[in-house]
Amino acid sequence: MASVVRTQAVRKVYPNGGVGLDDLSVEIQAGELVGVLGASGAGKTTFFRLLNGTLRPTEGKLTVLDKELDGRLGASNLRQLRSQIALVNQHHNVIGPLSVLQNVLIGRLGRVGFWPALTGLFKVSASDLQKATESLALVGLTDKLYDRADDLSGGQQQRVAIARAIIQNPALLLADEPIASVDRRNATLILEIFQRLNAELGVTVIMNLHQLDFALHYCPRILVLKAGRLAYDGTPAGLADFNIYDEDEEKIELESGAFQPVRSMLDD
Amino acid sequence: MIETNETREIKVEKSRRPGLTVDLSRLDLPARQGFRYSNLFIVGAVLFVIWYSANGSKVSIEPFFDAGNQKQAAHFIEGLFPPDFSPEFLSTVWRLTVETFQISVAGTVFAILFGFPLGLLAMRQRGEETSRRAVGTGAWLGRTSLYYLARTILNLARAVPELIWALIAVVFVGLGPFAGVVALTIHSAGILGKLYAEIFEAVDQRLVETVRGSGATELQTLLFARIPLTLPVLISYTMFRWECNMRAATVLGFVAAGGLGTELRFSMSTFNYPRITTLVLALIILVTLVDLGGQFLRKRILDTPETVACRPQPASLVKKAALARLPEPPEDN
Repeated sequence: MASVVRTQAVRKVYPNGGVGLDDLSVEIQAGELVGVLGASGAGKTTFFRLLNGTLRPTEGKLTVLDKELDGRLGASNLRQLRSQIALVNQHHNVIGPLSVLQNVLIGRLGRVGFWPALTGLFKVSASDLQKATESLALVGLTDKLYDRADDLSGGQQQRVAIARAIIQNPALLLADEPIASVDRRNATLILEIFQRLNAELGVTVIMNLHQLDFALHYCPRILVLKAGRLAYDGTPAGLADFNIYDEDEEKIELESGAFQPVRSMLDD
Repeated sequence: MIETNETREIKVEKSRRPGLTVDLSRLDLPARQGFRYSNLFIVGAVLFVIWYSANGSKVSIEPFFDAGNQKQAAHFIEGLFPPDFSPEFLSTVWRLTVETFQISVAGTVFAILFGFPLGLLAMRQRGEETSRRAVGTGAWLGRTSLYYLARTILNLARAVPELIWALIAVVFVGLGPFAGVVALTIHSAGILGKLYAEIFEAVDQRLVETVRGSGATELQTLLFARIPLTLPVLISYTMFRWECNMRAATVLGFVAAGGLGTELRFSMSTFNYPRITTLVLALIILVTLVDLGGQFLRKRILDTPETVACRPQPASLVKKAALARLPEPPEDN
C-alpha cells in the first residue's frame, strides 16, 4: 500500500450549486506529512470531508487507503476505513457532557462492538484506561481525565482530540486547522506530536493550516488550493514567490491605513 | 409564485467614520427579499380562520350571565362543601389515588420502551453518507420504508386521544386499570417517539460527524453523541409526559379504565358533590407531589457535573501514567 490518498479529477458540487473542489488530482504516499494551504473557502475542509467519507465526490475517482469512496462502499467498509483515519478539527472536537476519558475512548469505537461501547460508558476497563491515560500524557492532560470535556478550553479540547487520534492508532491523520485556536507554544507542541506520529509510527498526516510559517517549517510537502483547484504541489522552498491567496480578495481595498489590507493580515 | 421584487438596502456612499472608507460600489452585494403581497393574504387568511373558529364554537360572554345558568352554578358550588372526609370514603380515595399513580407509571415506562426504538427509526438521517447514492438503493429503500412506517405508527398512536384508546383497550383487555395502562402506553409512545426523534435530529451534526469519523456505528454514535448531548432534555420531556399521564390516568376512569376517574364519574352522575370535592383535592395533591418529585429529579440530573455516570478509577494507575512524561507511543493493537 504505497498510496494512501489518490484523487483523479475529483469535483465536488454542493446541492446549492457551490463548487467545493474542481478537477483535483493528487496522490499522497504512505508516511508523508502534507500541509494544505489556501484562503477561506478554497476547498480545504471539503477536501478533508471527502477523505473521511462524510462527503462523496460528484465526479472523478477518490481512493483512500485502497478503498474507493463511491456509491458502492457499504456501511461496514466505511466503518473499517474510518477506524484507520483519525480526525482533529478546529472546533466540534469533543462531546461536552462526556468526560475527557470517554472522549478519548471514542477513538476506539471503530474497533469495538455495541455492548463493549455501552458498558464502557459506565465502567472503563483497566487496559482502556491505561491506553487513554498514555495518550493524554502525550498531550499533557492527564490531570483532566475525569473532567467534563466542555469545562476545558478550546485548545485543551483540541488536545483531547489529538489524544483520541493517538489511541485510534490510525494509518492516516486528518487535521483540519489543528492550531488555529491555540497559542504558539501549544501549536508547536501539537505539530511536534504530529511530527512524531509521522516519523516514529509512520502515520500519514495531512493537515490544513492557516499559519504559513508553521506550514513551511513542519511540512515537507505543501498543497495549495485556490477556489477549489490545486494551485501548487511541491516543497516549501518553491512557495517563496507564490501568492497563496486568491486575487479576488484584493478587490476589498481599504483606502486609508487605518485597517491593514486583508492580504497582509493573512500573511502575517 | 414568482417574486422578483428585491430591494437593495445598502446605499453606496462614503462612510462617515474617519480613517475607514470602503468603496461599496465595487462589491457585488446580495439583495434582500422585498415585501411580498402574498404575506398579506396569509395574514388575512389566519384572521379569518380565528373568526370562523370562534363563531363556529359559539364563543360568547352571555351564557355566564344567564339567570338559569347562574342559579345552577350556585347550587353546584354550595353542594361541594363540606367535602366528604368519612374514613371509609377516604380509604377508597387513597386506593384509587395509588391506582392512578400506578397506571401513570406503568403507562409511561411502556411508552418509553415502545417509543424509543420507534423514535430512532423515525429519525431523519442526515449526511451524504446516508444518501441513496452512498448506501445503495436496496439499503436506502429499506431504511426509508422503516422511516415512513415508524412515522405512520407514531402519527396514528398520537392522533387518537388516550380516552378513545381506553375505550378500544377495554374491548381487548376488559375493564380495569390495565386498559388504562394500554391506552397511556399507545398514546404516549406516539408522543415520546416523535419527541425523541426530533431531539436526536437536532444534535449538532458536526459533533455527530466527529464521533462517526472514528468509525462508530449509528448505535454507537447514539451512545456517545446523541444521548449524552441531549440527556437533560430527554429526561425533562419524559418527566413532563409522566405528569400529563397522571392527569390522563384520572380521566381514563370515566370509561372504566381504572383510577380516580371511575369514582369521580360515579359521584357526578349520582349528584354526590361533597365526594367530588374530595376526589378533586386528592387529584391536586397527587399532581403537586409528582411535580415536586419531577423538579427534584431534574435538579439532580442537571446539577450533576457529569450527566453520564463515569466512575473514578483507582488513582494509582492514573498517577503512574501521569508521572511518565511522554511515554512511548502506544503499540499496534
